[in-house]
Amino acid sequence: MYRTKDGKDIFVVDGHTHLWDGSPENQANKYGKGFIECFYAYHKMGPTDAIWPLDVFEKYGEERMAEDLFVNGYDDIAILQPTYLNDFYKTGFNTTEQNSVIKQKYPDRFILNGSWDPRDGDKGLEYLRRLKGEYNITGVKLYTAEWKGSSHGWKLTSPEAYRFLEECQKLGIVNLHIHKGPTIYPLNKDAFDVGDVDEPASLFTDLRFIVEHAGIPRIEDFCFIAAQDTNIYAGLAVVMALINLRPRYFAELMAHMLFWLGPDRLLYGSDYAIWEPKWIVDKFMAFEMPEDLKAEFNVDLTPEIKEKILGLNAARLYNLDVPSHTDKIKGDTFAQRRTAHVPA
Amino acid sequence: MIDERDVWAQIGQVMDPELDRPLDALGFIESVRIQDAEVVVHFRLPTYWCASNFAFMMSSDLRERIGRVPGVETVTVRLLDHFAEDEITEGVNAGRTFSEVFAGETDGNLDELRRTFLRKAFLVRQEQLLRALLRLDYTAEQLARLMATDARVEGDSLLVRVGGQAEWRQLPGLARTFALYRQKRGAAGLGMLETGPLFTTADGEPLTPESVMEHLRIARTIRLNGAFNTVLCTALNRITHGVEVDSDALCEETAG
Repeated sequence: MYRTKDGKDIFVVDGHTHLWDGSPENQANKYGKGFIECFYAYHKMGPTDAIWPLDVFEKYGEERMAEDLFVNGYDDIAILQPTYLNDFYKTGFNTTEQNSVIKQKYPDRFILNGSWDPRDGDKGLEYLRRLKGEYNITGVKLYTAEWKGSSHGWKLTSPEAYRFLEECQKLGIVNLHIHKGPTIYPLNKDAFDVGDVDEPASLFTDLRFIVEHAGIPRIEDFCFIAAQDTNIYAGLAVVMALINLRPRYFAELMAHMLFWLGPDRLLYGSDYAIWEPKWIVDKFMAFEMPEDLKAEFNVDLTPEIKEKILGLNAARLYNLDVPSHTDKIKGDTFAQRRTAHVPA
Repeated sequence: MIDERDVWAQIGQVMDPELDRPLDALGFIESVRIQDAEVVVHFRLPTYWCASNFAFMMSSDLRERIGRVPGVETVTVRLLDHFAEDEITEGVNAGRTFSEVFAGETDGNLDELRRTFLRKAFLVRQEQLLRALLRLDYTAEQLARLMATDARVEGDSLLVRVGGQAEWRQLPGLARTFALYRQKRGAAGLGMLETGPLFTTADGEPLTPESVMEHLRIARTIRLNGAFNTVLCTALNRITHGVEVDSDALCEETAG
C-alpha cells in the first residue's frame, strides 16, 4: 500500500517478480553464469543505495523477497513470473514449482503464474493442464528466447504455439505475459520483433497479451501493434528504471505509451530482484509529466492514472476485488511490520 | 605502411544497426593493433546476450571496412565476452556467411534484417530534417511537394527552394542533417535523391500534405526507441565493462 501525502491509500499490484536461484551451484554452464551477470548489470542501473552484492542477488530466498516487496516496499500483492532456463540451470532458474513455495507460504500475497513452451508438444500440454489443476493458474509467462537442446527459441505464430493458445482458452488461462529475448528460430530474423503477437492477439480476442518491458528494444513496433489490438497490454518492468537513469526519456516513453495504449493497458512491475518496489514506486509517484509532452501528446499522468498503472489495471486482469483483498491482508504479518516500520 | 587514422576513419563508418550510431562513439572498440599489413580489432558489446545476428553484422562490417584501407592485407576482428564469440569470430574472419556459421538455425542471411533497420534509420534521419524545416516556417504541404532538385548543400548550409521558384533560401547549419538523411536514403536502397520527391515513405512512396504529420509521429516513436536503447546499452557497457561515453551527445545526435 502506498499512502499519498494527502492520506489516500493506493493498492499496488507488482506485475513482474521472480524468486530465482542463479547461484554458481545451480549454474549448469557458462550461459547460466552469463545470464545472471547480465541481470546483475541491469540491477546496477538502480540507485546506488539499492545495489546488492552479487552473491545475494544470485540467490536471495523467500524471506528476503517477501520483506523487500511487502515491508520495505509498497507491494500489496505480487505476480510471480517464471523463467525456466533448464538448459542453463541445473534445477531451473525460476520455475513455477520454485515460485510455488512462496505462494503456498503467503497465499494472499502472491499470484502464481505458470509457463509453457510449444516445443514440448503433447507433453507440454499435459504439463499445462497439470499446472492448472495443481495451482489454478490464470496467467503464464512466455519466454520466446528460451534455449532447448539445439533450438534457440520459438515464435508465437507457430502452429504448435496455437495449440497452446487454444488450450489456454479452454483452461481459462487468460493472461499471457510475453517476453522477448536475443535468440529465436530462425536466427537471422529479429528475435526482439513483437510482430508475432499481432496475429494471435487478433485471433484470440478473449486472451490478454501483456508484452513485458513494453517491447524493449522494439518499443515502436510494440506501440504500433498495441494501437490496433485492445487486448495487448504493456508491462512496464525495466521501463520504469529509466526514471532513475534518464527521467526525460522516461517521460517521453510514458507519453508514447499513454498516447498509443491509453491509461488502462499499462502495468507496473518491479522485475524483482532486478529492482525493488521501494524506489521505483517512490520515484514513479513523485514523477510528473512535463508540460511540453502533455501539450504535444494530449496525455497526462494524473494521480488517478498512476493508481491504475500501479494496481487497478492488473487487479482487473486477475479478477482481484481491491476492497476485499485490502481487508484480507491488512492484519497480516507484513502489514503489521510495515505499520511499525513506516509511520502512517 | 598503414596509417592508423585511416583505420579509425573506416571504423567510424561502422554502425550499430539497431542504434544507428558508430561503434567507436559507442565505446564498443576495445583495441586496434596494426602490425605490418595486418590489422587486429577487438570489440565488445554491452552484454553477453546481445543478439548474435547484429553482432555478426558489426563484425563483418568492421572487417570489410578496414579491408578498404590502403596497405591492409589481413584484417582480424575478434568479438569478446559474448555467448557466440567463437562462432562469430571464426566465421567472420574466414569470410563465411551468417547462415554458414549458424547452419541449421537460419532460413537465410542477414540482408532482410539489415534492410529493416536501415529503413528505420532512414525514417529517423528524415524526421529530423522535416522537423528542422517545420521549426523554420515551412508547412507540411510545402514539404510534401518538395522535389530532390529543390534542395542542395553549400558549405554547412542547406539551400531550399519552394513552389518551383527560382530563388534559393539559405538554411545555415542544416547541411549535416541533410547529408545524413541522404546517406541513409541511399543505404536503405531508395536512391541518392537525384530525382523524384525529396521526402518519401520507407517504401519510396511520396508523402502527401495530409500524411506528413502522421508519418512524423511514427518516426518520432522509432527515434525514441533508438534513444532509449542507446541509453540502456551505454549504461550497461559502463556498468559491465567500465566504458564511459558521452551518451547525451549520442542521443543529442538524433534529438528533436
